[in-house]
Amino acid sequence: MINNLAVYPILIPLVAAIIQLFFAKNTFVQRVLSVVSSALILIAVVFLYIDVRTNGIQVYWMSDWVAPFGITIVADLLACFMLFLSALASLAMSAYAMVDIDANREKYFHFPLFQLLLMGINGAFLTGDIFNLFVMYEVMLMASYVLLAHGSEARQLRGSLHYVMINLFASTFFLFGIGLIYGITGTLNMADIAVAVQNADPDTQGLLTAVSMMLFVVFGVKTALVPLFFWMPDAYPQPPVATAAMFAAIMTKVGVYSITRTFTLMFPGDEFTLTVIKIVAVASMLIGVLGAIAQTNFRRLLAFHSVSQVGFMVLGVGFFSPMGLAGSIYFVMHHSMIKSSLFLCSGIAERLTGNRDIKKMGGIIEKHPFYSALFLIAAFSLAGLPPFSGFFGKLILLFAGAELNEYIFLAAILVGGFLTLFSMVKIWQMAYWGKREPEFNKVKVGSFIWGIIILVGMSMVLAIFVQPVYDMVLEAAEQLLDPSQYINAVLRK
Amino acid sequence: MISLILHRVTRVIIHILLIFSIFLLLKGHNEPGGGFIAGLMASVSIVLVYLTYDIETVKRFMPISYPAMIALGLFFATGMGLGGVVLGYPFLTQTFDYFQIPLVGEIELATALIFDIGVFLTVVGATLLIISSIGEGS
Repeated sequence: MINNLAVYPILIPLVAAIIQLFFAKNTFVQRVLSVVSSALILIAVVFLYIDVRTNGIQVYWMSDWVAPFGITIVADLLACFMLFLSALASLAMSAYAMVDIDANREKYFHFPLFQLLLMGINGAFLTGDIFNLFVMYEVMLMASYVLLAHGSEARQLRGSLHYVMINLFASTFFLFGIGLIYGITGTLNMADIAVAVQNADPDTQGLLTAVSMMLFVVFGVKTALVPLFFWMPDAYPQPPVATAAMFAAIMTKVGVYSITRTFTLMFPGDEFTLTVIKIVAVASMLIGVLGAIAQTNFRRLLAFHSVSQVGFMVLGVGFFSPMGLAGSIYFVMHHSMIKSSLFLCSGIAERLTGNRDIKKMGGIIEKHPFYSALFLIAAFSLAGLPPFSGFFGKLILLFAGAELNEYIFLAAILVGGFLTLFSMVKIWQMAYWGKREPEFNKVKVGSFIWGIIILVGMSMVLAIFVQPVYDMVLEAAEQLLDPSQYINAVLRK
Repeated sequence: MISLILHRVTRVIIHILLIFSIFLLLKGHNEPGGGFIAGLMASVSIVLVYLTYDIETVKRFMPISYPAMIALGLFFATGMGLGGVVLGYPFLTQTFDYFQIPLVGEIELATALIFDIGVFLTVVGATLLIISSIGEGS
């Protein structure tokens, strides 16, 4: 009897989407199924994590074809963390979407599309085959194209056009990169590629570095790193908030995950690539946050922040030390909870004031103190104030940088954090404090905030239990820095 | 304008096309063919009906809900994969056996056929959904 746990995070959303398609008319069933599916994935991931902790990296042969010939599903500690985050975020988004999505979008299959998006994301985290990674990216992107344009508002179509074009370009590039890898190494299995790269003849070393940089460009487009981020501030403000929050929480992290996987497993520790990664990361950190300061559209501001925050995560990968990678993973966890809760907060503010511009909001705290407090916690956490989770994320990265004597990067982290605080305070002052604008729309805020409570609560858990969580992510980072574990598990040496 | 030649020819070759698509579906797995190409073939024959007549004829020809057809196709394909999981094999594991069927003789039946039928239904459903939404829009 083979252990099927590793494949459940892909299967559950697929099955949920199919059942939802059968209930095309009954949107209530669809809504409930969305929540149930996310909860089931969450449970499966917890069991999977325990399994990986006790029995080592879990490998699963799709349709019983052994690696490197078939498609392999590999669950290591990093994949478990990412799956946990995607399940948690989708649970919160489904809770929010229950009350947020309008009837027209519901009728045209919003929920099945969301489940298929989740399937693509989870597949990308689990796959051990680089071509399958491409396929899972496409599953995820197809669903996201539709979700982004869903509803056909004029501004949605404008934003999604950029998004589709840039992603098609990136996907083509991805395919070229995979083709080159296959040409050089003769295999598509990631573990097998890692072995082939280790034993590669010195003449091909230059070509391999070029290919790894090609992949970095592709993943840089998907995560919106500087200089390839320009599509993101246009795309993210357009769809319904629950969708935008899911994109910001998890879809950008798929790129970060792929960068981590590529540069720890397949092309580890190359001096040139690490330098490029660190420079790009710092540029994203600073340019993203400067872009955010200039914005007054709530969601555009948050989208620019995503560019900046992704820089922190990628910087951790660039440090290429156990502490740096641990900081990166911790930051990913912190950011996916906090950024998605900020997006959900922006959705409520839009509903209350009927406006997207923070200049035209004001005085929300008077009427809704609890919701405003949740926003404040999330905002301070994003800015990295103690005692919230963002502070510990940055602290680990600072220690990692100090350990390696990379003081320029330390300065960049501090400046980036300070500017983030500045722009968060700007939102707080304009939208939540100040004079109350004419009357607010009647909104039952109570039914919207459950998703935010889940996410902010989990980020508080991250902050309070920082030591045990740090030990867990450090274990994952050490596993990443020892690729032989992954390779031996997949190739059964 | 409806061409008389196209009109008559469509009535004849639609049968050939559909039968050939089923032939491709059954032949797949071991030889060139399979659910996807068969689905495209069947869709093309329906597109031919749409071009010759109109969208109402297509709807009379296949009076079903296309999203449900897609869902059914996905159900077959995934269900075949899940069958393996239930029996304790990895997802999508396939098997085959030989059966004696009266009049036909010994043939090979593979579980991959169920998967192919699922793909077939999904492809046909998706194509019909596309042409029906374009056809109604104009």
